[in-house]
Amino acid sequence: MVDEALLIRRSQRGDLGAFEEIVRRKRDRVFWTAYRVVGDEETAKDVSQAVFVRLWKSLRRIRAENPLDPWLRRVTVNLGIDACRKARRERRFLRDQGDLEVRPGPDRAPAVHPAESEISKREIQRIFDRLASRLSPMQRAVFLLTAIAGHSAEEAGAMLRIRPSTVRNHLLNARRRLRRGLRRLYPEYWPGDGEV
Amino acid sequence: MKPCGKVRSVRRGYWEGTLDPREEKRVDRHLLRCGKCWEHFHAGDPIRIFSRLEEPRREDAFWRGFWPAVRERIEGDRGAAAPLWVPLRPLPWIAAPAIALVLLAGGWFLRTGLLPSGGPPELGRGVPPPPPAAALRRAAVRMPTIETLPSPNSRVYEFHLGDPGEETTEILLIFDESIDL
Repeated sequence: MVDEALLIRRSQRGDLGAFEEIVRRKRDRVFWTAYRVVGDEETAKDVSQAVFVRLWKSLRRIRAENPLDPWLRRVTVNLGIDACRKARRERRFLRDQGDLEVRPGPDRAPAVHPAESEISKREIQRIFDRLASRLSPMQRAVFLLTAIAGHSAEEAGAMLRIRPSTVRNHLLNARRRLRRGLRRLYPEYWPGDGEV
Repeated sequence: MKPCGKVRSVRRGYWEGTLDPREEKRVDRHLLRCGKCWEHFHAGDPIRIFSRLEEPRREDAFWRGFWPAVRERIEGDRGAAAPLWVPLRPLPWIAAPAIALVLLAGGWFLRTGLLPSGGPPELGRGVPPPPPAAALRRAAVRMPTIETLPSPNSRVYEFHLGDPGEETTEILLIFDESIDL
């Protein structure tokens, strides 16, 4: 397997074949990050493509010895936030124009075993996608970076260009909204008194 | 790791959202300041199930068309931008000293008169040739002439501007302490 630094150097010299290999290696992670921020596959794919185009344009400023993942994550999150904001503005515009129907109330999830270990990953994904759609783009990005990807408030703040204290504020509010959504819409997954 | 006594008792209510809004804000402020309580609250948070979210690995069919779309955008931008690409970052570091050098050299040449003037070589290198006599006379008569006029209490100067034999402009300059403007 070719070293990543070598691929970057070749790409910096204009080798599209080397760059394609970088894209192939990183696309899953970039897509996953974008998907967590924007919440739907098509938009996440568009964002992912934009990230790699941005990477190509920025290659000359990137040091080949440094890992690409932090740069990719930062750009993906920021482009994802921009995409979310744009989508929200469009939805708001369409709603004001009367072109967008208000979605019906949430349907109840089917009853499943409440034990945490028995919840499938697919179900967790479905629940998260639904609850996270109620978060602002920044809250969603902060939750993704800290609670799921495991970055500190300082690291997340550096990626999003906000202060660590602002990261923590966003995280508190994101958690509160997710908790309330989980308790109201999926009470079967809410831990009982003995489990907290 | 145990939380502080300040918030331990309200943890359940905080998670369930049943606290009074003021109390909830108080807990928020404490959590932002106390790393111990921050860790403890989040470790037991009911939404910890989302920590199990993983990167889903997509099948190859999902990625069909992805690289061609990226390549198309790169080549589209490349065609438009290639002629204009200039490494801008080092430019100020090169331009500033170069401009300073040009200014210094130009100023030195002007001061020493080393600029090429096309004069006679026997005058020596760097010494400009004297202007022709007629040019000197013309320069002299164009200068304003000054004449001191006699006056008991004031100092009076008379200026004449213009060429002799032609209409001249007369200006009087009077210095007198008694003149109150």
